[in-house]
Amino acid sequence: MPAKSKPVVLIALTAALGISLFQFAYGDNEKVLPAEPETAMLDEQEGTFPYRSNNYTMPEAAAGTLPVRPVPGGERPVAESERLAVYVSKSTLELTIVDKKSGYVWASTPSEKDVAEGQLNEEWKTAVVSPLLLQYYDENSMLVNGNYYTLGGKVEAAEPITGGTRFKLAFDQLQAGLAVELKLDGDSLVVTIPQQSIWEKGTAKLATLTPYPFLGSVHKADIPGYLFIPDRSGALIRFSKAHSRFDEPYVGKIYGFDYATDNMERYVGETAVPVFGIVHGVQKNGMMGIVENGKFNAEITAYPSGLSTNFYWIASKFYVRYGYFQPTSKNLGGFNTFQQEPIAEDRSLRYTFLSGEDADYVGMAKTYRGYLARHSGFARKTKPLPEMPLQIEMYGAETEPGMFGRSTVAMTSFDQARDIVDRLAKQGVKQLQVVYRGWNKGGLHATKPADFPVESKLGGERKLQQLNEYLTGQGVPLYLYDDFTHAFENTDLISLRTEAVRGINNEVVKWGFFGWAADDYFYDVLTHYINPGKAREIAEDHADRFREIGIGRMALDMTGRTLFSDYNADHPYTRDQSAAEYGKLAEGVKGRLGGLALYAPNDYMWRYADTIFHIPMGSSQYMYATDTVPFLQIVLHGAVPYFAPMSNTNSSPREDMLRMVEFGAYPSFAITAEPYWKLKNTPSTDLLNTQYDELEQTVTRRYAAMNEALKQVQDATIEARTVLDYGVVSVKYSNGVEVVVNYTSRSYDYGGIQVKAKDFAVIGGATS
Amino acid sequence: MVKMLRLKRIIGLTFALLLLGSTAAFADVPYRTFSFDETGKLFMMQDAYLPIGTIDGYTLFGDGGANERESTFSNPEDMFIDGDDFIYVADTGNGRVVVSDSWGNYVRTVGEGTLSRPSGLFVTDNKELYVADYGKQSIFVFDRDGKLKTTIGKPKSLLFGKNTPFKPKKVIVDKRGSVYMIGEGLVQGLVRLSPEGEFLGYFGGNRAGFDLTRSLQRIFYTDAQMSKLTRKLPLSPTNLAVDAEGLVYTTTVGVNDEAIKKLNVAGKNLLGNDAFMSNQIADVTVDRMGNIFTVDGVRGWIFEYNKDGNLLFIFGGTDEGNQRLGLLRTPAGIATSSDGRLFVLDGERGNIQVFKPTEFAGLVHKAISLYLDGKYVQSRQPWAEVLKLNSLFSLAHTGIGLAYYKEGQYDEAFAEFEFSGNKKEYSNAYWEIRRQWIMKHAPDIVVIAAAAVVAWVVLRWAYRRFGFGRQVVEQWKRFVRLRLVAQLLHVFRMLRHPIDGYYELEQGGKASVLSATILLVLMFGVRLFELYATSFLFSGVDPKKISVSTELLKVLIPLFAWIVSNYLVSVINDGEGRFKDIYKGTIYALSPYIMFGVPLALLSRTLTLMESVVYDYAYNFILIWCALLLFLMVKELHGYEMKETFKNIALTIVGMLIMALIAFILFGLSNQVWEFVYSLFQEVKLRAR
Repeated sequence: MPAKSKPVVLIALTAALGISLFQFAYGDNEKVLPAEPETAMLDEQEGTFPYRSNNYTMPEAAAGTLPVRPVPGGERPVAESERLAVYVSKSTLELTIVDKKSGYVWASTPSEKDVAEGQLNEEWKTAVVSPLLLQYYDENSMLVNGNYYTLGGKVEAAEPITGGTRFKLAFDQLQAGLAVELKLDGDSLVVTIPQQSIWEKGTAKLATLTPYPFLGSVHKADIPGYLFIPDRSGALIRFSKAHSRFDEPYVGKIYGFDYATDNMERYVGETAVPVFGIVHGVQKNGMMGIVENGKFNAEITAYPSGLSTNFYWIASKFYVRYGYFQPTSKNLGGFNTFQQEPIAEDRSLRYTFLSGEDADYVGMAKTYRGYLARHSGFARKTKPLPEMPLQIEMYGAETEPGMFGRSTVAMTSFDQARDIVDRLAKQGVKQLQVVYRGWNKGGLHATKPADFPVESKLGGERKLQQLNEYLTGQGVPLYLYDDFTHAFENTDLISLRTEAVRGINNEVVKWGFFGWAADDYFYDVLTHYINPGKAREIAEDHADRFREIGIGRMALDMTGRTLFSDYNADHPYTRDQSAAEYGKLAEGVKGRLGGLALYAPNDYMWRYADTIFHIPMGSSQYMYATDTVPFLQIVLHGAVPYFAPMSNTNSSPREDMLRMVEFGAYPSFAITAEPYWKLKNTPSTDLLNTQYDELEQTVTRRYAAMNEALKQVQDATIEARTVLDYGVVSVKYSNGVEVVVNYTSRSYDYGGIQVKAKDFAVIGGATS
Repeated sequence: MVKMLRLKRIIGLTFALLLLGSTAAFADVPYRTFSFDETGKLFMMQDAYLPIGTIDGYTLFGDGGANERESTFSNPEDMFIDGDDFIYVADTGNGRVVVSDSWGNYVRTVGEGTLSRPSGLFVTDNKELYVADYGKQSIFVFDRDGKLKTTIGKPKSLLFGKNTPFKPKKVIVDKRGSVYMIGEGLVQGLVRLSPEGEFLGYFGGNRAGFDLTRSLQRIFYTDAQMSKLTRKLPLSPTNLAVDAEGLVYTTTVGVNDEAIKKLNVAGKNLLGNDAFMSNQIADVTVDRMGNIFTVDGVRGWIFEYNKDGNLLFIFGGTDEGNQRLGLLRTPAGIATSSDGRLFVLDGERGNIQVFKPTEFAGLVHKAISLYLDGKYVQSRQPWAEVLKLNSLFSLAHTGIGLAYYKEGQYDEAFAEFEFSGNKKEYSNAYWEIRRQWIMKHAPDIVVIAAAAVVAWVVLRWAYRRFGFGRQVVEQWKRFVRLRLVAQLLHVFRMLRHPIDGYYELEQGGKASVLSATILLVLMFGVRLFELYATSFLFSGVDPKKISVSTELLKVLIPLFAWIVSNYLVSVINDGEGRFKDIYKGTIYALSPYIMFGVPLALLSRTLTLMESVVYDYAYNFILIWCALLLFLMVKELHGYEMKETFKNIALTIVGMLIMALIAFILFGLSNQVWEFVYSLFQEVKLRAR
């Protein structure tokens, strides 16, 4: 062989190997599919221990007779209705409410004995008997705690108004004052602090107001019962004599974190409803607070006993002004300050009193359902489908970094989507709700908000149209996914300088959207928030485009669940204005398209939602919380169909399935046609597995199991929920169907019906 | 570096969770579970463990009778779970050991009155309880009924030393009854004591880390100066555990390497150093399968490794006041029960959080145990199920790859290893595939090669004899003589006759600025090709993460810094070369790289790790060749002697460093100025408002 031909051969050899290498990398990547059925892990040993944790609800012990507080003598009711009689002390504003139906007495202050023996410090000794807690900023911009007594509060005048009385208060030490109005409305007492009644003449500026903090409070566990907190799906703080020490109270900012206002380091929970409650003796006496005016700038705070005082108490804290840090340099220099002008809104709280069967969290949920129907026109009824619905979240295209800029990975083309729907139908899963994500050019996270044109790698607009027509013909609704809350820097839809939300300190609000798992490449992608007015403009524009191509539904993420102010002087929005604007946005979209689905929306958006996706399926499991309850689900079931978050990430599929059956939530899966590993270099790496071929069995099996229970109750409301034993729950629906779920590793005998371990039973209804 | 990056990533993750809440579709636990794949990239997972409750003083003692002090744990510092799943808690602040079952039912209290500050404990197979009490400076041994059996005090042996403190913090006992103890201030390692309490020696001490200042001091300081410096001491291990085979595990706070050590009898560490380990490990434990669990005392993370030290899961986080179940305040101890539950003792909270493995974790454990026993084929089924749940789980890909490998399905194995990024197994599979390929195609190669030789000989003969193909040859010769082409082809001359080559380059017009620029572009192309095409066995970078513009700057900045600096230095030092010549010369000096970069990258794809030496040598050879040409360039272009050349090059490098420094200062300064103007503007704007 001549020397010169050697490199040629070598190069040919390498080229051939290179090609084969390419084959290995991009050729078929088939996996063995296990055929074993879904098995549950049983642990006979565990007993009830895991089901006593605050991830579940505890069974109720029958409450004995409860002591009834005497009505203070010498007082005449200031207001009286068929149900309630309200007594107020003219000097201390102490409230006493008699529930005439049960005869039970609710008081705004603990008994004198409990206060005296409570070993309280000076501040708390007065706070527990105060009708009002206040916080204010002093001349040094320091936040100071105070109350009716420490601030020298006194009643200056009491004047009758329709249905009640207005008390004018003055606080000498603050040189400020306000009025508290007490009104009766049927079985509710409404406490209002009108904005125009607030006056401030001194240097001190009001920060927060907490009316009647200790109304219904309980000393240690003297009265059995619990506090209800609106944490995610709902949670209870049961009264107990002895428990670990806690550091901080529960704080739930109603409708969640405000990115433009709140301190990023403070965790304020997820709160979709402005509701809290106290139960004195389960199914005996209950009190439920609904925050009405001012709810957009209010927090619900709950203190377990042992934290500052020996009382369990829950109240609503209204913000008059927010404090904030004003940076003056890029390296953390700056000063603390607060809003100059008070937030202009009335603040009111409605206390509704419950007794008998309604006096528990189920009753509260039912009452709140009725309240929404009366007050915000949320009166709806689900149209039942022949079978249980299933949500399929199709991932279309996604963006991926490459040597020469970003490229697009096509995961599910419109034709493939159609194919998947057909295959599911063949398996008997016909009631689908298909959401299509990442339809936009460049893919899901190429930019935000999503924008036209439709990604050509998926088939383009024409194929999307065809898919839509085909699915509509099959009776399968197709939703296009959108989000009008986040804007990436590369968007053309808004001007980040003028239309992105500015924070209370006038800085543009932004943070790294993929701050976690994604590659370095996505680490620097900053997200901004879109001014709500602008969001509505974009949304209506998108809806028009959807309609042009015949799409009749939109699935709206983030916008229904994220609420913030905008402090941009050119187009400011307060939180309630933002909420109203989002309402109009939803209405606009619905008017143009006809169908709107929302992801985990706050309650002011419920009336616009035809379907709710990603409903919270548990609580935050705070240490002081003792139970998780499906409050949201009880309010919503039968009114709006709701789906659990995508099951792809379930770590204990069996238990998560039982949770869905118990909470009446339909299942949801993220699906792609292409193998999931193709998303490896994209930001969507937290789905774990999405390929239809691998998930088909899981999806159909899960569907078949759940369908049996949930198809019968689609339009029924949840009427009762009873915990039979630790880890065994019975849910009764308005149409007589009862679903009994057994989380434990032992089968449960329910009046002759065996509920197998980690399984459920359906009683009544068509099949049994 | 990589580890810091990983740390940053995890912290980012925790923060993002706070901001995003449950936007991502995970369950309602307050943390996420993730791991790092074999290339060091973070990937998400299903939750491996879920919190199922807490055990604290109140659950154990109830609310009746006992007063406040007795019914709560006071800063407990250690926990142990024995073979029958009884939990022993060293209730340090209350001077006692509390025993309960693993479901939170109280059993008994041990050592009340005897113990002062128990901070470590251990229970042997026959239920003898060893308690390290640094308050009493002793190790107490209790029998199975909780009666004090013996007390081990400070060893009297001279070897231990009279002034050496004996303050036991943690204690374990191995199968033979030897006691291993961590004592406060004992940097030599663990104290090994006989069952009777005699001092047997130190075991498993850490080494002092490398310190640049110290090394320099050692070179330049006199003995007298050295003796004045305080001695740098190695860090003392902070906690320890022992597994079923009697291997001792130690953890050390404050070190990044070997934070967890698995020591054999000889004190040798059996764990690799690749896996991510926290530098704040509070406690370590080993379950029956040999999985290693650690808990980070500051950040609240829980780590699970398999017995080879591969990271399986990271989860958990710090409780910063929101008090969610599953978050930890100041974790002090970790232990597992026989059914796989995980118990974490929280010192400040005074409670034990109980975590239950999920179905997903159960599957992973099942697969891992088969895999580690070498039953690769049997492990395929569970691994496949794991992948069905989480298709990016890299260890599962490696596991399935090994199963394929075992069955001789090398192509499938290769694909799995490539996916998981396991270089060693990838290389092995590739070796097999290559062998098969060669076996299959060897005859073809020989035939083709022979045919090529014959064709070449025939063609040459035909050309010489009959002028066959003369036109083509003429065309080619004419093409080669084109000015620009000739200039480009000068590269080949540089390779063979560098000295003449430079002379012609400077004097003979054998190269122009245009040709050099074309070559520069070509070189950048070669660089990109190299980055993209080099087998991942040999290249440290992921082609996906390469940005062309950054790479361009990485090539251009040093190159032009060299050219400019060399020109400036040469001007002062009577160099003859013009700027243009230096530019051309420098680029032509890189000829070897331009020529051989592409073939080498291609070659790398045919090699396995076993032949890595071929690749490394070839690569270094190219680099040295380029350096040599650069050297010759300086010498020839400027007409220097040897000595002057060296001087010139040294000065050029110094010049480059100075340029870097100036750039750095300018950049920093402009930033400062901008920052100042911004602050001023902000202040004025805000105060005026």
